[in-house]
Amino acid sequence: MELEIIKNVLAALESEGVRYLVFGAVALNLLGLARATEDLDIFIAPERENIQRLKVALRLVFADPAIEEISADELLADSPAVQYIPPEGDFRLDILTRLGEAFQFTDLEALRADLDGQPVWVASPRTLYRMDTVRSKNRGDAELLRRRFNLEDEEANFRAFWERRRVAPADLEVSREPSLHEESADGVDLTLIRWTLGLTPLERLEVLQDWVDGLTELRRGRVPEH
Amino acid sequence: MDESRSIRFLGLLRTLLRHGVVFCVVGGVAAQLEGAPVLTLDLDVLYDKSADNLGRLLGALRELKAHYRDPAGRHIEPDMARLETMRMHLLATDLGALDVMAAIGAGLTYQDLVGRTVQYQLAEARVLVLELGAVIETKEYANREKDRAALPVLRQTLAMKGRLVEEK
Repeated sequence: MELEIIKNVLAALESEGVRYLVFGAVALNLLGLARATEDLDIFIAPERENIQRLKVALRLVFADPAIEEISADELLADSPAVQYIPPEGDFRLDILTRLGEAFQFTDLEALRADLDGQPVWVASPRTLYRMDTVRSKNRGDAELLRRRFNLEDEEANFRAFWERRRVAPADLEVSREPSLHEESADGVDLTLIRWTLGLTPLERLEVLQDWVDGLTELRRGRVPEH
Repeated sequence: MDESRSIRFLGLLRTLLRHGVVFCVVGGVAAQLEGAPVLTLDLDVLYDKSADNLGRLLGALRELKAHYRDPAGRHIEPDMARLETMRMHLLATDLGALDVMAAIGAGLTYQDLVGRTVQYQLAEARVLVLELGAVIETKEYANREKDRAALPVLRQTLAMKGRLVEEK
């Protein structure tokens, strides 16, 4: 897994204010389900300005004229998927603005996660579960997500999850905007605190367990094979 | 335990409870359970120093194959004499790093702090957890760099919890 490149790409997306979220194997790793991958899968908001920011971000990481060939028209069209392969290495970046008819950017829940010190936006377990049940080749991951995050009755849990927080799912769409990310004067992430307080104590312990598991894997410097 | 594997928080708590150990969770895990998003790599517990409880604790530690995290690499296991006399036991176990303490902060024991705990149900495990205000006080007292670094998050969490209670 090209961890350094993935970190650099995500740092560039953050610095350029790209509206994105990570899904796929890297997202599973961020949620504590280790997967080997050389790909980074991202959803981005289907807006020309956002796609332009994405290209600027990629130019910060790769000196590659081919980045200019990433086409906004293609990403805004009926088959909204583009793969960018840098000139060297095995890294590949899959960029989507929609997954079939099932998912658009605005349908997705995002969580703030930490990739070795780099804050990133990652699809929530429920979103990944739903996406993986749509993509037939990922049914195995969906099953692991279901078990790991207790998604036994996914729809009922999804509703209960939001009812407990007294927040409509649509509000989370707003909360993932980096510009609306709330911090205290001394730099404390108040959005993360509010989110944590919305969890049950058991969920808080599971979140901590996942952070520790993820950190342990990163300290080992590789993603283990299962 | 393979050092490259991460701690199993719930497994450690279950083992202590299965042996009937009287304890409360303190430190970073207590803060996280109280809603403060902090990362910690070990479980800190404060145990009751009654003789019966020390026996139960020793049983749990033996099941966990606990030994002191000795910088010199010696293999030293906890025993009754050590549990009776020493205040702090920084242990490595089959399920990860476990710090068991007879007193924290300004010499405060389980009996001193049990009135400042909350009870949480974690799956089938029911555990006592030091309330966030008391966690903050112990970290202020300890005043190590890592404690000072965590305090802003803990204080903001306590303040937000207060506001949420008021809103209700």
